[in-house]
Amino acid sequence: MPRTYESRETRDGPWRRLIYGAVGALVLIGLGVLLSRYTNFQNLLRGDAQVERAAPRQETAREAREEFEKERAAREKSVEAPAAAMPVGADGYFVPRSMSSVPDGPFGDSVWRGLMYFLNTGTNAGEYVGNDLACANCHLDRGRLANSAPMWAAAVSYPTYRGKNKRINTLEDRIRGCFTYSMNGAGSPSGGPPPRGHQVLKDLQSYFFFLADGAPLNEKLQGKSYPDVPKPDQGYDRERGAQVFAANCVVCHGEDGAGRRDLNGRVIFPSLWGPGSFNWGAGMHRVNTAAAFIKANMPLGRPNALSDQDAWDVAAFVNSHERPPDPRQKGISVAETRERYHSGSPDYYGQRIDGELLDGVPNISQNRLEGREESSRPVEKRGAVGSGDPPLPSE
Amino acid sequence: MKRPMHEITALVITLVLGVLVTLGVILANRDAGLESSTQARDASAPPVAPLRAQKLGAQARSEVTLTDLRAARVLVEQGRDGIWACAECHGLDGAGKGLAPRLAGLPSGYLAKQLQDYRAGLRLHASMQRLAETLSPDEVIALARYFATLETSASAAPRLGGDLERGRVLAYEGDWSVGVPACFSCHGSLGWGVEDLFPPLAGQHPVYTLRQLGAWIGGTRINSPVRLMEEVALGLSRRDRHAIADFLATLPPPRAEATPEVTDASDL
Repeated sequence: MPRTYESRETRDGPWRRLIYGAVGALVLIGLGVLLSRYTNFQNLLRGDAQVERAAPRQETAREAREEFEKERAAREKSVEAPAAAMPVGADGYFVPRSMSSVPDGPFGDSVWRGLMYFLNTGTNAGEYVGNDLACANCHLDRGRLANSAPMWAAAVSYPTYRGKNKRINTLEDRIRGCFTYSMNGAGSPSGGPPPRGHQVLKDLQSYFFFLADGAPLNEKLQGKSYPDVPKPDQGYDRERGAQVFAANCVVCHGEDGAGRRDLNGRVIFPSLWGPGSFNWGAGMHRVNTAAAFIKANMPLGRPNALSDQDAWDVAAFVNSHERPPDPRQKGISVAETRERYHSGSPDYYGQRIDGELLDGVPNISQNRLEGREESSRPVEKRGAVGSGDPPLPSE
Repeated sequence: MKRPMHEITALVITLVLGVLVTLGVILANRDAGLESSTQARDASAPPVAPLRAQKLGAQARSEVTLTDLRAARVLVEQGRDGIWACAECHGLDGAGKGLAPRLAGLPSGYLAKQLQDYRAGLRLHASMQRLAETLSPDEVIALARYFATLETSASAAPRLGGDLERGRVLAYEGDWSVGVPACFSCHGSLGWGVEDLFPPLAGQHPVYTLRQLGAWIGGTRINSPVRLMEEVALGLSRRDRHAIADFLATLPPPRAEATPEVTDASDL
């Protein structure tokens, strides 16, 4: 039976089809190579691959909280209802409440105020702040971020005994401790942390309580504090750390570690050492604590970018510079303070570095009192790039 | 049924030809002119000197004279032999349009670094690279300073249909579920930038901002110190990039760098 195939074959020969095929293949391959090299096409492909991440994660978090609220409401009505499970997100960590769910009324107002103190501590609670820092500098994402010492994990851990002051601490005590040390209360206009019962402390507690809503009391929650980074085999070395700092940190924190401000004079990148930073009593001055913070959180937006060794080295570098004094040093010698409060952890306090004894630079109020111009909280510098405005009268 | 011999032959020849052509195209383009490569120069080697923009800015603000600024103005408005005027894309007032960014009021150190980076192939853009190659180091500083001192009102507006509320959230809070910090945590309150190192984003044309975010992802721009922007951009979805670009376009841009001698370009 004659077939079209055979008659065409005898007419045109297989070589014609071969040539068509080869040319077609060349054209298609050429097109493919060109397309794959066209950047916008690449971006298009990559972009669509990324659209999936944030929205589903937020969805999971939202659903987890909704589920939790439902279960809790049922439980409040009847003891037969199952206990509500802690809301957990796609990454496995506790999901704190969203600020969109802050209730109206006095408690909600307190929560909002707490957030404002947390973000802009120097501006909103400046009476009690003796440096350039804000809570949010070390507790990222407004105190919500897992592995960045989130407030929802802290809030369920008090009251507790703390070896630091050898007594039972309430959450209020703990916050006052942060003002005393991390915020250098001694250098503040008031000379110390907010007094017990102060509204600032109540509002911060409201905010932490709100964040921690649904987290079980006394549980060592995943994501709490900064994950411990074991000391590497080569220990820590501040000179190696200087290299790490120069390569990774100076862009934001400055070669002098004093941080950077924007056109409005607002601190954008915090001071790591010097008069504007946390004092020698703050937890962050310990090399292991700083290494843990840095490893999980720095550079900003690039967690775990540094090796354990680099994190420890750069922590040693940062923490081997001067900073405001340890307020516990009052009336006793540096050696005695070191013995009592700075032994037992990697710590440069009281050591001599480059010929200088690290025992605390004069704090800000001291500077102001003695008329020294180096206040790290300049109030008169507007238009820092030379706008020609006359300076505002200083305090 | 046995496959006809000529079909096998055809297949083999086609495959071989195809492989040869592809190899040829790739080999021919390897290390060829920058216009045909899609990856900026050696992304694995970090750009050295993370504070280069700061040094350039200090240099620009202390060394550029009125004479230099006048010469820069000529370049901006008229170009010179064989090179077009900056104003053709960026406007006489540096306001920019579409893909050509607003340059007015951006810090001189940042602008100077970008011109250097175009020249070095750390940012890929055929026209800008060509132009940057024709400028002397002094001209780079002077042009940067000139644009930095231009006080030009905002002309950017949202154009991409981005979700402005999402953009606002990204600017002020970020989205840590995908590892993205708040834009303003580095780019300053109101997005007005921080010194020479973190440029103002406020009032920038959205198509340009969007293009840059894509460039960090795609590897055609690798000049962000410490690879900060590469990581940020990788966390942003397409929807997020549109949102932030449009939101930033709604913001008022920062005031310009001031000079002691001139308050605006008409003094030149």
